[in-house]
Amino acid sequence: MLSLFGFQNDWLSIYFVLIVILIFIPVAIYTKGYIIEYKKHYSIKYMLLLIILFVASMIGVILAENGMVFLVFWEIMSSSSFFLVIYEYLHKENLKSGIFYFIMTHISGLFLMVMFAFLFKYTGSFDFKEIARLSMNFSPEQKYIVFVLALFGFGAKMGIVPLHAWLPKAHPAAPSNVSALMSGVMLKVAIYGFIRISFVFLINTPLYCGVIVLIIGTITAIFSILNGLLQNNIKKLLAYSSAENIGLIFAALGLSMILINYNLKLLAALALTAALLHSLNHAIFKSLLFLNAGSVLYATGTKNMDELGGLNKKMQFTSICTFIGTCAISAVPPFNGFASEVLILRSFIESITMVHNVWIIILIFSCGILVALTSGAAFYATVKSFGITFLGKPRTEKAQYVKPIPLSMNIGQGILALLTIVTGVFSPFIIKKLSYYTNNLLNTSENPPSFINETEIIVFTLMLIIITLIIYMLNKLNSRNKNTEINDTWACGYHSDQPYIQYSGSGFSEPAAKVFGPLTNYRKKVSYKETIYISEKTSDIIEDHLYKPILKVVDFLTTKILSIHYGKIQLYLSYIFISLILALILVLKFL
Amino acid sequence: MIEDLLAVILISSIFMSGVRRVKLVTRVFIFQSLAIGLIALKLGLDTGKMDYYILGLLTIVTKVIIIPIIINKSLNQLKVNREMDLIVNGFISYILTGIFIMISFGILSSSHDNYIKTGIALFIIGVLLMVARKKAITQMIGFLTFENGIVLFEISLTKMSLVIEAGIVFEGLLLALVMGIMIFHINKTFDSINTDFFENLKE
Amino acid sequence: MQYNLFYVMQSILILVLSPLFMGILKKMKATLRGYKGASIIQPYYDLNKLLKKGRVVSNRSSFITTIGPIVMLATSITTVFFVPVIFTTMQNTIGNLFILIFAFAIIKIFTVLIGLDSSSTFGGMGSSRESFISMMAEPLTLFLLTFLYIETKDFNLFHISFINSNITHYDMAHIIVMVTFIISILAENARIPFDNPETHLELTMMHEAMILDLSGSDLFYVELSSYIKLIVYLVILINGFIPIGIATTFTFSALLIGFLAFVFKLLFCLLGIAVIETTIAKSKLFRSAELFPATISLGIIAITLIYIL
Repeated sequence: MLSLFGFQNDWLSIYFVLIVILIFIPVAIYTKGYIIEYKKHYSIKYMLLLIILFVASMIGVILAENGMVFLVFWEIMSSSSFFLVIYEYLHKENLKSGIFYFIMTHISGLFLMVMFAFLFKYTGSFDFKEIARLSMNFSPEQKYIVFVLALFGFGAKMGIVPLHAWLPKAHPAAPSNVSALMSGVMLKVAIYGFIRISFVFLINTPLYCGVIVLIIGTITAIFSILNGLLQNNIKKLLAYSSAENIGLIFAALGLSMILINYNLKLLAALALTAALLHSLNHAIFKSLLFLNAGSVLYATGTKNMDELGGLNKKMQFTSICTFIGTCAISAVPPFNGFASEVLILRSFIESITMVHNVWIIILIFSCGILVALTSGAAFYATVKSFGITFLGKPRTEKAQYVKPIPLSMNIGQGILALLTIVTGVFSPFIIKKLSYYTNNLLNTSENPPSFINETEIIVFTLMLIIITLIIYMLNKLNSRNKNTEINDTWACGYHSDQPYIQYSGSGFSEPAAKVFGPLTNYRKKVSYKETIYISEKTSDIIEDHLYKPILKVVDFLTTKILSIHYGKIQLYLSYIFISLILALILVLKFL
Repeated sequence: MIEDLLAVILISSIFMSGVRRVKLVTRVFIFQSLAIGLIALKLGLDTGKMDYYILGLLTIVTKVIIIPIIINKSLNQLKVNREMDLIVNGFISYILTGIFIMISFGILSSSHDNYIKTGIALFIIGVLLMVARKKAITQMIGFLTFENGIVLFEISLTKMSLVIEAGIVFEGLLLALVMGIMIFHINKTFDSINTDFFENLKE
Repeated sequence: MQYNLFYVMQSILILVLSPLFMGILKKMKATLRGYKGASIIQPYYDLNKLLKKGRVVSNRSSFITTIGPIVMLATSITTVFFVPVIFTTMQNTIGNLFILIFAFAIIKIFTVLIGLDSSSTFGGMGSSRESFISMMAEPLTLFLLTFLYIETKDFNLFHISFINSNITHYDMAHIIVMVTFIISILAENARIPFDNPETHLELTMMHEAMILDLSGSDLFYVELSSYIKLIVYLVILINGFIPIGIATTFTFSALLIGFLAFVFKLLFCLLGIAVIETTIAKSKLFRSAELFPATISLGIIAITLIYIL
């Protein structure tokens, strides 16, 4: 019945719709408490309407079976997310970030429209099933054109380098629940679109397509996380971390495309499963971390790590949830980040042994080294975010007077934290189900082997829990007649009540700033007021060197073209008439 | 055995690209030349050709014994210890070495001749040492590494003439002697062998 | 059934003997330096003393300090059961290298957070340096996994040591990866040249800085956990790279040879660590971090040796 309206129930669509709904429910519960803060200045009904529109349009995009339906829902998704990003319009910089985001998302929409136009030209229909059937007869040039358009179209929405500059601006500007939805779910919709184009439509793309995807994914990952490491704004750090994980997923997809080319179908299914599993896991733990950042913002009014600290005393539940999220990102077993990280590393390692082309081995090996480096840097960044914000002493008064958090926000975070643990421990079953479907997609004839031994993770978790409990009991037994004295921090006898002898956020990541500083335009400035102030600044080098020159050229061209605007209506009408005639002539000539 | 020695040469070349103490660099260079000499001797044992024996012996005598004596004499006169200021810092030079070796191996992967590949790797290391360092001594050692690479290249050629071989080896020896004298004079004039000061000669 | 019991017992053997091995390490260092040194069972006395004391906790610390040390020790003990010591088999057992390596990440994250929890400068300093060094050391674990997989096509440590157990001649790539893993051991366990485990000066602390504020039973858990972690890393080195002599059948002679081989190899590794700690000094943070690109290049050479040369 649904197919009447252009919807389908392919396993890929159902999987991603599941992700959307799984994230939406906790975020909705969270929103109930969070929007109380906005009652004074903004309209709540507006936000609720937009969120419902946003989520419904995302589900529409994923379930669409027709190119037109896809594009309509894509446009609704872009517009509703734009209005959500500029929701707090009273802060002027939000408007700037919102307009930047608006331009980038419409660039992506433009590329997608052109891509669907080309698909229509090659196959004569917009229907996905028709296109999938006819796409096997495409020539390599046609596949390449569709692939490049899909890369730019979905890439601008995903935030891969060099189309990533909007991500660190838009995600901090939006309200936290919206950031969770955007970062957790909307980026996955772009991934869904890319998978549908590259794996369902264009099976067996040329080799260099996979190579491009792998290189872009790895560069995105390493570039974003090194930038994110040096940020002090919690939400900006999380936004860069999202870009890093998207880069990892993209790199796994690229690896899968390369492996399909070498007819190593089983390994390609492994890489694809790794990408899909990481999408699910990232959605869960990134939404959790954004909701936590929202709670911190609600309670203290600031997003800057260097002003916070010691929040674990006042916000116990939030700090436990953030800790679980940090463990999940750092691939700590038995949380869910571990399973997807293992699968990605496994696909890299196993493909080195199976591919026989020297250059591809070199490429995969180098990207493997960079992927390992990014997982280490992700650990560094999220530990900094959790540790500086929640542990230690409060660094300013903002962290001392903390508003209590409503119950619904806590419930929302708690559900996501629980989901992290559940998807982690039961990951082998999820992997088994997913690998069944991916193997079907790629037509491997054998039964897929178990990608992670099921019993091992469960055995490990059980052993860990049992031994922890045993030691805990022994500890209680041991400390029956000993007292635990609670006193000031010893710190080798150096006693001070000042909070600023602790490490600040920028100090924590300073070794990385020294080594990787040139990548992020890291500048330190020393200024004198009543005492010496050191301020640090990072900026996005791609934005400086790519976007700003392009904008300068566009500016220059538009000032030149501006001279044809006289202000007379008759002139404008004649312009429209002339361009209409020209368009008709072009269409008639080239059709 | 020969494969192991080639691997030792590659490892020593990575080591040389990033260390700062000049005496350590010379010691690694001695090690590397010894490995090349042993390869030549072993090849001589395998094939029985007299050329390889002589090549090996010449390499060992000049590069392991004579040239280090010259270098050490210069070092003792100059009291030079470390190269503090690298043009390409230690981090990047290690990674660059690894990447260059990998790329050069990738380009030549179709040929089965191991000596050419290692020879080219040594070329690259030698050029890196010459270009990316400021002290004249290290640049000289870079050139000698380059020469090592030429020796390896030569081993892979099937028809080897003793004359060419002797010519190359003696050229290396002469270079070391001349550089030793030159460095002494440079030091006397400028009081340091940091090549930055050469820019003062421009006008 | 007998096999299972013995398998558990060989792991408990490591658990119980790891302070003894640390004592042997300290005695070796003392002998190399020319003084008599403490007896080799001194760590047991030290741990006992810590267990008897009460704890002092900072008033700013959180659940991290309350449950952290216990979870760290539990993780260490759990990893002991995942490595082969004397006896190995090709059957389907636990012992996946991925779980092992990432289990050490649990210990790492708790240590770093305990450092930040104590709200002192030393803690932050230790945490920041440790995070930086372990970020740079991540590719080395990738090399370990890659090369063991290339040689044996398996990720299970038991299977790897079984397959490699008759090889006596090791080619250069194997030795290079072994050297890389040794550097990774030194980095992760806070040994020279990354950190001096005997110092209490702030300029040279890394691991000690993070656990500076712990005392009593907390310190007991953390110290024992770090002893066990070092021994487990050495067991991975021994049985992953040089498993000659390990028992593959369940006969008395094979087990005896396996036991003697294991003890001999472990003592040799400890002697190696003692020699390194006596001859090299701890280097500056950024100098020791320069070691990592060098080892990455070494790993690149190893893979070219396997595939191209």
